[in-house]
Amino acid sequence: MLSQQILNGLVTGSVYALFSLGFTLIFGVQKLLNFAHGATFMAGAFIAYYCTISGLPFLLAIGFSMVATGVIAILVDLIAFRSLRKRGNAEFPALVSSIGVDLILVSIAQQVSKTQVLNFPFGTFPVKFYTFMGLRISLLQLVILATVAVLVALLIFYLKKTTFGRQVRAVATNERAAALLGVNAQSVYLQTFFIAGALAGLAGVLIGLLFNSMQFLMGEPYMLRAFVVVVIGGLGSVPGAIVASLMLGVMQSLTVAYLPSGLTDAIIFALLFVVLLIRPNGLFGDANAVAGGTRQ
Amino acid sequence: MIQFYYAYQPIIDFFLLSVGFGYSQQIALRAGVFSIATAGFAAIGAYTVAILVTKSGFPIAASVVLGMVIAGVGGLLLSLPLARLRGAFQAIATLAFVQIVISLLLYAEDFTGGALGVTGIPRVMNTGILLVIVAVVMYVMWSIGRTGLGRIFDALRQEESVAASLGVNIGRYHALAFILSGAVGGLFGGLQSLYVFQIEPHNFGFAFMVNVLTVVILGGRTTLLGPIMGAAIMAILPELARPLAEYRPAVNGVILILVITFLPNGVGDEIVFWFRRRRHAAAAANRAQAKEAKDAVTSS
Amino acid sequence: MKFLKLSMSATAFAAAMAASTSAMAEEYKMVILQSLTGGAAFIGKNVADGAAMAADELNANGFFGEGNSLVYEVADDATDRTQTLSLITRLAADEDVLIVMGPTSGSVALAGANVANEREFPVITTTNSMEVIENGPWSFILTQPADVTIPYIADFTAQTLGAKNCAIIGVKDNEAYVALQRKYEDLIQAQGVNLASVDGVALADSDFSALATKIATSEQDCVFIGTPAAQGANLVIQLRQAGLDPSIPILGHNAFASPTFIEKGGAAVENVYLMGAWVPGGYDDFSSAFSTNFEAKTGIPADEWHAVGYSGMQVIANAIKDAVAAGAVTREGVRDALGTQTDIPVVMGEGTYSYDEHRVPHFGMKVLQVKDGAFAVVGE
Repeated sequence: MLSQQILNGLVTGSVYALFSLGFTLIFGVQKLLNFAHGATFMAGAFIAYYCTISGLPFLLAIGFSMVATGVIAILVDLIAFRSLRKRGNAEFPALVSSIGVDLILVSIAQQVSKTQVLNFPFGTFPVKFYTFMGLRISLLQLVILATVAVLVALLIFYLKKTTFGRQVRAVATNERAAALLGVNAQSVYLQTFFIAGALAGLAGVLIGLLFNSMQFLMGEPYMLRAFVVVVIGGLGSVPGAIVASLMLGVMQSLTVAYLPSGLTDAIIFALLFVVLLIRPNGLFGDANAVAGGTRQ
Repeated sequence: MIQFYYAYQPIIDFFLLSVGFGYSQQIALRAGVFSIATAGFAAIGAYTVAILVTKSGFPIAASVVLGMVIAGVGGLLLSLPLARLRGAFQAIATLAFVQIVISLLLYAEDFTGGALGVTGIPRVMNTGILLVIVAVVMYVMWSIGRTGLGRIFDALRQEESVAASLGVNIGRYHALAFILSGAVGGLFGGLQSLYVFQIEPHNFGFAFMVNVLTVVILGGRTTLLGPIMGAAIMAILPELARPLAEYRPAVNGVILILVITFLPNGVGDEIVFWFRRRRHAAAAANRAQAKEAKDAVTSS
Repeated sequence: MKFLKLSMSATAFAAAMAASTSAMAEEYKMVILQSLTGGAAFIGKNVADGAAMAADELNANGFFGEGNSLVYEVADDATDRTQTLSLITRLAADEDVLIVMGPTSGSVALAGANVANEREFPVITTTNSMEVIENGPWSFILTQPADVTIPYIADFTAQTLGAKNCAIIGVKDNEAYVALQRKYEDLIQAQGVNLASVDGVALADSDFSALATKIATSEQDCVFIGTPAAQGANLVIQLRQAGLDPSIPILGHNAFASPTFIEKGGAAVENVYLMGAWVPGGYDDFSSAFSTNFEAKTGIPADEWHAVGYSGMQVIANAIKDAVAAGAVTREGVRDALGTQTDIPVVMGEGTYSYDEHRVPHFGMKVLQVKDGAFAVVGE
C-alpha cells in the first residue's frame, strides 16, 4: 500500500507542479501574488468541459482551453495588475485586485454551471489499468506524468536557453536595467502571464479528468496548495516549485493514509509555517529569485 | 424611524460588527503588515466565548475579555515568525494561520463540535451594547492615532527603511500591531458569537476574509472613518443590489478592483483627506492674508 | 387517502364558488427565502425551483378558490447569515407576509429560526435539525430528522445485509451530513456492527486517490458513504479504480437519491444501496407527473431537493387553506394550521406528509439500489 500511496501522491503532485509553476513564474517576474490563479485553473477545466460536451474532440478542447486560459491570465494582468504596477508599491493592492478578479470568475462559473458539479462524459478518456510490480496505475495517470514531465522540460528549456528566457530573467532581476538594455518588459509580462494561464488551464483539465469532478470553487484548495508549494520551494524558483509539488502530493497521500482523518490541512499549513521560520527563502530557494522576499 | 430601526436592526448590528472586524484588519495594514489574519483572530475569540459560555457557565463578560486576551496573545505569537517576513510572505503566512485555525476547529470535535460548531449560545448582544463597544474601540484607535504610535505605524507603512534608520524597532511595533489586531478581532469574534446563536468553522473562511478586506480597502486603511464607510457601503449594497443577488461575489470583485485602482485610499480616507486639505488650504490662505495685512502695516 | 383529500378540496372549492362569486379575490402572500447562491445553493436553489413550480400549479388549478391565489416572492440569502437575519427581520415587518419557506440549512436555518421566534413569524426551514423545532413554536423543519430516516438504511445494513465491519466515509465540514453519519454509526454499532474506519472528506475535495487506496487495501464487509450525490458517485468511481472488491456492498443515505448520482457515477455505481424519499422518475401518478412536468419545464431531471421543495409547498398551501377555512388568515393561524397538517399528498417517501405531535415531519423512506443505471426499490 505504501508504494501505491506514493504513486498516487506523485501523480497529484505532478499536477500541483503544473499549477504552481505559473504562479511562481508570475511572482518571479512581477513580485506579485496572483490570487486569480486558482480561478484561472477552474476556468481551464470549465472551458474544456463545455467544449467537449458541445462536440469538440477532446484534444482540441484542451488546446482551446489552454489558449483561453492564457488569454484570461493576460486579462488578469491588464485589469488587475498593470495600472497598479505603474503606481509602484503594488504588492498589496495587486493582492486585493486579483482577489477581485477571482471573485468575478468564480461568480460567472457558478452561474454558468448552476452550482452543479460537472464531469467529463464517460469515455472522454479510455479507462485502462495496468498492474506493475503490485502497483495499480491507470493509463490516465501515465499520460499525466508524461505530459507534465514534457511540459516542465520545455518550460525550463524556454527559460534557460531562449532569448525570451533571458529577457524574463533580466526583467525579474531588475526591470529598469532590463528596459535600458532594450528588453520590452510589457511583452515579457504578457508572455509569462500567457504561459502561466495556459499551464493552470491544463492543470484544471487534468484534475477534472483525473478526479472526474469540476465545480466553480475547485480553484480555492489548489490555490492554497500553491501557496504551500511556492513557500517550500522558494517563491519564484522553478525547480523548487517542482520538487515541492511532488513532495506535497506524496505527503498529502501519506497523511490521509496513515494519520487520523482531518489533520491533513493542519499538517500541510503548519509545515509552511515551519519552513517560513527556518528558511524563509524556501528549502530550494534561490536567493536571487526572491531578492527582497525577506528583510535583510 | 422606530419602524425603520425594527426592520433594519440586524443590518445595523452586522454593520457594527463589521466595523469592529474592519478595525482589526486596519490596524495591521496601517502598520504596513500585510496580514489577513483577522478571520483567524475572530474565530479564536468567537470559539473562546462560545465554548466557555455554553460548556462552563463562565460569566459572559469575562469570557469576552478572555477571548480578546487569547486572540491578542495569538497575535503576539503569530508576530514572532512573521517578524522575519514581509510583503507577500506575510500575506501567505497569515493565510496559512487562518487555515490552521479552521482545520483545528474542524478536527478537535470533542472540544469545538467540529463541523457542527457550537450551538445554543445565549443571544445577549444588542445594538446598544455593540454601539458602546464600537465607540470604545474607536476611542482607542483615535488615541493611538494621536500619539507617537500612530506616526510610527504610518512611518512603517510608508517607508520601512526610513523608519529603521530613525531607530524604530520594527519588530516590536509590528508585534504591537498584531496584538492589537488580534485583540480587536477576538473581541468582535466573541461579540458575534453572542449575537448569532450558533458558530461553525467555515463562518471564518475565505468569504469572511474577503468581506473584512473589502470593508477596509473600500473604506480606507488609515483613518477612523475608513472601516465605518466601508462597512456601511457593504451593508447597504446588498439591499440596493437585490436583483444582482446572484452575482454578489462578482459585484464585490468589481468593487475591489475599481476601488484599489481608482481610489486607492478608499472612500473614507479620501473624505478625511479632502477635509484636511481644505483645512490646510484655508489655514494657508489665512496665513497669507495675515501676512499681507502685516506687510501692509509695516510698509506704510 | 390522497383522492379523498383531493376530492374533498374539490367539493370545498365548489361550495366556496357557490357561496361567494362576488367575493374579493384574496391574495395570500408568502416568501420563498432560500440560499440560491453560496455554499447551500445546491439545496436552496432546487428547493426554491420545486416550490415555485408547485405554487404556480396550485394557483393554475384554483387550489385556493376562484380568483384567490398564493402570491410568492423568491429571495436569496446567499448562504450568508447576515442576509438571512436582515431579510427575515424585514419580512417580519411586512404585515402581509404570512409565512416564509426557508431559510435553507445549517447555521443559516438556525439563525433564521431564532429571529423568527423573536418576531413571532412562521418559518419552515429546509433543514432536518431538531434544534430548529426546539428553538420555538414559530420555526418548523421541512425534512425528516436523522432519527426518522437513518434507521431505514442502518437496519438494512445490519439486518438485511448482515454486515459486521463497515468503513465509513463522511463529510467533515457540513453539519447536516455529519449528523446523518453520526446517527448511522450509532445505529449500526448498537446492532453489533464494528466500524472498520471512519474518514472525513471536505465538500470541495475531489482527490480521493489516497483514501480510496487505503480503503481498497483494508479489510471490511461494507462501505458507507455519507456525502452529496456527485461527490459520492466520484468516491465510488475512485474506490472501484483503486481496486475495491466488487462484492463489498457500498451504501449511502438519501443524498444519493438524485439523478446526478447515476449520471456522475455511470457503471461504477451499479449495485450501490441508498435510501430515498424521492425515487427519480417518480413511483406513482402524482410523483411521476411531477417528474415529467419538472423536466419539461426546466430541462433538468428532478432530484430529491426539487421534490422536497415541491412537497413542502403542498404542505404550506394546505396549511394556508386550512387557516383560511378557520377564518384565521394570520401568522398565528397559519402557524397553528401548519403544525397540524397530516396526510398531505406529496411526491416523496410513502406519498403523504404529516407532522407529529412534536412538529417532527414524517413521510417515510425507501431503500433503493442502482440497477441497470436506474434506481430500483429493494425488495419489490
